[in-house]
Amino acid sequence: MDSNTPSYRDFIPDYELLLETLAREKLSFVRINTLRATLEDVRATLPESCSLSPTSLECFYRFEGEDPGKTLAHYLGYYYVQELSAGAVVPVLGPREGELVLDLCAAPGGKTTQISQEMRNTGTLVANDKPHKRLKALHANVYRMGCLNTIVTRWDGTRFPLDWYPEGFDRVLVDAPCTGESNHKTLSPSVRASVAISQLQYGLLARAVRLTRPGGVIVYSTCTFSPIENEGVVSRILEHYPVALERVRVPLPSHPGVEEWSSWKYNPEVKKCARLYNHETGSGGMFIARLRRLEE
Amino acid sequence: MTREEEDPKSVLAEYYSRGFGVRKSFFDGLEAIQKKSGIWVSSPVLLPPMFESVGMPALRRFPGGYKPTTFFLVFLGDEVRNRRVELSEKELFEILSGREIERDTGERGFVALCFEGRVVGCGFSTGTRLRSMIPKARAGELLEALSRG
Repeated sequence: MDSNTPSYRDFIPDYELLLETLAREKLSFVRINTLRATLEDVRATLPESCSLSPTSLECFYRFEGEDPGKTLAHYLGYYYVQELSAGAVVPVLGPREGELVLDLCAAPGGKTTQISQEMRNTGTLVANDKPHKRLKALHANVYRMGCLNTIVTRWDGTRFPLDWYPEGFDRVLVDAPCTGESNHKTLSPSVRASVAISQLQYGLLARAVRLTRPGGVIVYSTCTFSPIENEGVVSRILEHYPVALERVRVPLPSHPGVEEWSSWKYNPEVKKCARLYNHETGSGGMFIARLRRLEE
Repeated sequence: MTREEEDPKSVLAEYYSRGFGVRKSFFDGLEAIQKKSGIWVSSPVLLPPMFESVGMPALRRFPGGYKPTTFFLVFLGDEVRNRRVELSEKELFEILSGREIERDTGERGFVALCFEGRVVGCGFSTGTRLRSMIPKARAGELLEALSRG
């Protein structure tokens, strides 16, 4: 841990248990791709050594067996390997059939393909990411999962053109690059690293607000615990842009956003956000905020 | 009318209907976009001025015409009624490893490779011999899946 960084012990319940959980192998979960298959289709193609059991998230199943990414069902696009915590984000965004939706930081495509599935391959889904090698994975996943309503664009998300869809998007997802603390085997928070990346996160969320039509919905998510990258970014947006936070409800154990941490104090509205922790979800950790774009 | 001037959706529907027995009505409600590399298929979407891809590639340009893509053949699945070539696990291993196998298909051309009744990709038949046209990365994924039984 960075010696100047205060601990997360103050706001993460059962902190020691979280540390133990991070050190262990994560459980595997898959999302059945209803654009391509049913649960029975998947079960019919799985090796006998693998099985699926339901979870509290629709279409998500616990995968018991090795390497869920190396099966015929996976090859055929019948499912996507995805953490439960990550799977909780798209239902908060709530995409509907026929809408215009933007996934601003889309690679490698887990949430993109989930949005397409929720939209039942209708409307327009723009899956954007900046040029990097993960864009190749985004393409491959969009094709494999049969997302015919998806357009892939390659753009720095903080500069995504405002005039391409002048009426604005109905919904925008910002699954922002982050320090990814919930994916690490050990927790080594760094204020310096979080402050540095929070500039980019703020830029992405600010752009997302400008790209959303009045009345539209923006969801901001990260897979890190640092309040600097979560409540801090959202508080700054609330201060400068016409948006209002809405309460996040997920079918997994969660906690409200943190109103203060060490010497930092955040907009009290951030308690409407949701924090998910590995040791409680049995999967990954996640921060989720849902904002409504207001009239200027 | 030259190929360049043909309606890409007509080209797409004709290709898969004549070659693979896909119902032409399957393409109702879908759109086809002509790109330099081939023809892409999507649902009706609002296209931006610049984009990397839309929907998925359905036909790739190939000397003398087009070739079907593995992604689209897999997507079509049971819609593919003709030119299906069912392979045993051993045969699939062979051709995914880059080797040709003997198989009398009766005609030269592209085929849909099938395993346990499911379309898994594109192949090419000389009439008596068969080889895989599945892209290397996808072939690797399929080999890994087969390896675990």
